[in-house]
Amino acid sequence: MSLVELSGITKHFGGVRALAGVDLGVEAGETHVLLGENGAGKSTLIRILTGAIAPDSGTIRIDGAARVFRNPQHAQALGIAAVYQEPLVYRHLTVLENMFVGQEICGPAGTVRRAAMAATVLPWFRELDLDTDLLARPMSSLSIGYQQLVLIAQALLRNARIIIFDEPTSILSAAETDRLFAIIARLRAGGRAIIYITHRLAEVPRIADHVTVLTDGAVSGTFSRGEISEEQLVTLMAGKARGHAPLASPRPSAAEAEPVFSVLGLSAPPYFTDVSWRIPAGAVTGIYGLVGSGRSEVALAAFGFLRPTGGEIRLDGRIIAPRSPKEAIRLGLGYLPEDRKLQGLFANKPLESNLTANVLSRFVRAPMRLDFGGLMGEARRVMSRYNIKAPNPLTVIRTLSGGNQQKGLFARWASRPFRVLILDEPTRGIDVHTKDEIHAFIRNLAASGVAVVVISSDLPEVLAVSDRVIVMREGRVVAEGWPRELGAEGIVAAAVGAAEAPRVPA
Amino acid sequence: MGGIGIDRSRLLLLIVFLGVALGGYALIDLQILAAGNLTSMAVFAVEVGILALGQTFVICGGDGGVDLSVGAIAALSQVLLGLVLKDRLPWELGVLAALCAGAVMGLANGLAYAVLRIPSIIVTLATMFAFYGLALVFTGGINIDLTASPPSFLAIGQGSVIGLPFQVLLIYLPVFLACAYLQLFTAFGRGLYLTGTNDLAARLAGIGVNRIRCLTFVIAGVLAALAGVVSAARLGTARPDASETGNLLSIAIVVLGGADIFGGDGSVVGSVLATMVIAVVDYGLSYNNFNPIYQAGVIGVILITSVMAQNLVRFRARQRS
Repeated sequence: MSLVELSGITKHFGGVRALAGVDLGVEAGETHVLLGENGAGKSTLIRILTGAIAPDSGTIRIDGAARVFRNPQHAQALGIAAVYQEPLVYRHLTVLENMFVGQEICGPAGTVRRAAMAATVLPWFRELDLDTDLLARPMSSLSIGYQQLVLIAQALLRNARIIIFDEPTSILSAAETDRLFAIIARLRAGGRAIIYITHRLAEVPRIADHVTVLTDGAVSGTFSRGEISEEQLVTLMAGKARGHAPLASPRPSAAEAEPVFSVLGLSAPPYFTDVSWRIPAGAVTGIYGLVGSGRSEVALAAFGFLRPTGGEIRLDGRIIAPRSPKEAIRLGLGYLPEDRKLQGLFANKPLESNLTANVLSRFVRAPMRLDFGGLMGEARRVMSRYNIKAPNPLTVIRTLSGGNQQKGLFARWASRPFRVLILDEPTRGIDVHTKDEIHAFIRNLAASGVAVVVISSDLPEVLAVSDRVIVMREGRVVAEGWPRELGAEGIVAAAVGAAEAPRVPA
Repeated sequence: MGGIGIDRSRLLLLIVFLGVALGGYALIDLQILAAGNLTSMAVFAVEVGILALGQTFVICGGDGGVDLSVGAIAALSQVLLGLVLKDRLPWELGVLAALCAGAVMGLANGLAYAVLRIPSIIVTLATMFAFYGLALVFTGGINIDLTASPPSFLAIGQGSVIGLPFQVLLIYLPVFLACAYLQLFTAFGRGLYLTGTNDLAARLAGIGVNRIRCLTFVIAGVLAALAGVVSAARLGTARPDASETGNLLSIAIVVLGGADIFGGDGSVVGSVLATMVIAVVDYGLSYNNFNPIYQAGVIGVILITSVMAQNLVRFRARQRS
């Protein structure tokens, strides 16, 4: 009997399916690796397992008994703990205070009994080889690696039997990673069930007893250690994309033309180093990479929002160095940011204000007066051109569906005559129909001569729209080429750092 | 149709407040509606009303922006005006000096916020003390008597035009119209609303967020200086401690006027109505011989009641939808 067993877990967010019937069983004394791309549903699964959200359907069994988590505290009481890549800590409290936060051992008058608390954590600190001197130090003085260890100790203190690690090594050094793996092995030997989430293939053979590949919200296979090769895992991760043929009518002639826009050897540590993109006009260049690979930061640097420390940006052969998005826009660059709510939307403002925010200066008439008739006309034109469904231009954008909001933000940039248009995750979290619509708009933009860049962690999307593909990993360009040549597997392999990454550009 | 931050229900609520307050006082004593009383209310409201117009822009810019120094700017500008008048220089020069000084003080606030990236509440708290301090230094702590100033200057605060107070008709009204135009009909106003709504999105849409916010402090500074000029002319004196209540009262007025304290919503129209509400309530309390120590408390109660009423309306609306 599995210590924890999920069966038939489904979850939808709005119209978007995040999980489509996931089955997963983890034994005591086992490390189970959950492998998948961004958007495969790993995070959703973990949020369900820790009680942060409830599944639409499906059951969770612990020791064979079906459980419904009322809230995260309930999941915790049932023995589930999670350690995230960026530890959630109270930076100004001491390590000891962090470990007991909310559950302090108190005397009769409500006074905190430090000595008793320190004595209680002692065995767990020994088990993790942690120095007890740490207890009195503020959490902020510890490295991320040590903060993770403190949270592991906290999980042990709370009698966690199922410990979930969510991409814990992505910001650790090699030595910290080795130490973490040794500790995970020890926890496993102590009879705990470990669920380890990653998109790093290289980690699988090091720690996995079993590995489950999650693709597009569904399990595409569970395997024992040694039963499956790295190449097979890549094939599974690329899963849904394999069915998609690369773009039907690529425009190699355009894509091979001299780049109209390029970044050359651009660096902005710690985000990215020595990155070169050569972007031709009249074609779509797809930038594929996982979240954190530095792809958005390159775009933000080119757009004048982030100051690069080295390298150059060229437009029409001339070096440019925009110091603000305002300047970049004036030069002919457009950038649709990746996070709709945070970076794009004026949520409680009318659609019209949202559509025209980047071209207000064109509608200024004397004396300083905005031409509201012109703005409304422009909004109507854009709404019909991009099929944005809203009662009228004065509708507050927040009240529209996610797909229409996204189309609005897309249109804010697509409807202007930019030389270069960088679209960062242009279809994240929207329904399939709208996605297809936006993809068609993107192809049209390229056909009209715009140099289009599509940044995406959605492989089918990259394959569907790109004439050429650049793959980034950990702040560097790791592969570049024609989608047909690279193939879905080749792109994923490069992005996750599998051994045989294809054709790294010279 | 430019008013993308205007909440009609809020304006209506303020008009109801105004009616209730005036009506309530009229029940006690109908004489409060006499022309003389109404103009007195208006005269008292003008100075803090001008401060509130400037404050509206700062708050609308978001990022928790407030200007705690508007009263101090009014005081220091007024003192500079007083010094010019004392030297028997043309009063127009004094007014010009005061307005320029206000712009410079506002610019100092704006630059400290936008360039040095110090939160505006801290910047303006510091400059509030600094400006009052300078005003004391310049005057030696003594009020400057301006009663012997040219009558054409004193008319700014004491004269009347076609039966209405000079400063209401020829200062407050034009300034309000200019502010409303700036906020509701220009690219600057639109940019300000968008900045206050989501400054990251605004920056990425190519809006000059820092410049816009910096400008709001300059506007607030110039208007504060103007308020200082009006009060000097009305009282015939330049005081280093003028407008001390204006620093916070102007914020209360803007919030009562429907502005979101986190920016992006609210308008000078709401601020004007809120100024009228405060003016009527205040005047009525004194007129009916209530103890003046209750006045501050009453303003607090109005502020909280209006916010609660607003929340109730929104809650109902959400339940219905």
